[in-house]
Amino acid sequence: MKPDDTLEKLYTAERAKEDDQSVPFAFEKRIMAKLDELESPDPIALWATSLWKACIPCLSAMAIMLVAFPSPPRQDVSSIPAPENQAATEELESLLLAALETDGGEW
Amino acid sequence: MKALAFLPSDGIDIVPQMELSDDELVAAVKNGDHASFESLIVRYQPRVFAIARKHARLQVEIEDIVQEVFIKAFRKIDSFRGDAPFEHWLMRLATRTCYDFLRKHQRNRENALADITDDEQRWMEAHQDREADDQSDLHAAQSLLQKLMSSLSPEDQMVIRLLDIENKSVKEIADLTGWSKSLVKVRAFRARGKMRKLVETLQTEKYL
Repeated sequence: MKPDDTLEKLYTAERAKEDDQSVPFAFEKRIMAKLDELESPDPIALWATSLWKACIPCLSAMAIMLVAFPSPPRQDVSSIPAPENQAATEELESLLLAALETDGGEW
Repeated sequence: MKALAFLPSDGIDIVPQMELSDDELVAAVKNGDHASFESLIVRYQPRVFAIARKHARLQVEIEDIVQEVFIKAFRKIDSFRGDAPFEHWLMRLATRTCYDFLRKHQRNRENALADITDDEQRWMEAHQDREADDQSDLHAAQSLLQKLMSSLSPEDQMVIRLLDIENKSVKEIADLTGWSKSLVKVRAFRARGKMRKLVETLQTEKYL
């Protein structure tokens, strides 16, 4: 038998199948509930969207500031003369340990 | 006044509602009366279910397709101009949603020749030599066709179903799918060739 004839028999069998138009109970209610859910705004999504929106001008402003006011070249610590460097270190150390010294505690 | 209400002597409210037309319901939905959309769903969901059942097998998938169709319809209802009946617009949407479903699930395409049941095998053997148009064991034939079609691409499945099974014209298929008429013809030619080849393979490799 030719393939076309076999196919036609298969198609005829498929055509004989009646359309099943049955609908699950209250299916329209399910769709309406889904639509309500989709239509009502989600506060977390709104908040996240607004955060992203706020992020864009902030980044733009940052980029503009970087271009307009480039930072001055950093002074290397090693380039500071040794005695001055030493004094600054001691000053910082005494400042940090001041609380302990005034406490009168012993080490 | 569109509806009359009266209270009969037994105390039961009977409200004979005048059936609103599709255009009236669509206009109401467009004006913000979302409840009117429920009437449209009730009116057309049996037909949309029937279309979905032709393309999906699992009940969950069928329900998802129908839900997707009506959600799309609700969202796009402003684009419905009323040039054609609402029913045609909705059926077009349903067909395209089914096509999208087939495309999403094309990874599940089956190898038609690998999973033939005994009933399907018997059907093939019985129809190998018989020229008479035998309507016996329709179920085996239907499931065999389902398997053959599921090994085709979504485009091929769609065109075979609409053209050869539902006997729609090329113009109708072009309207439903959004493809041009020449594209429908090209796809039909290729799809028919693939189906023929599948049947030939079944006949030669397994049964002769």
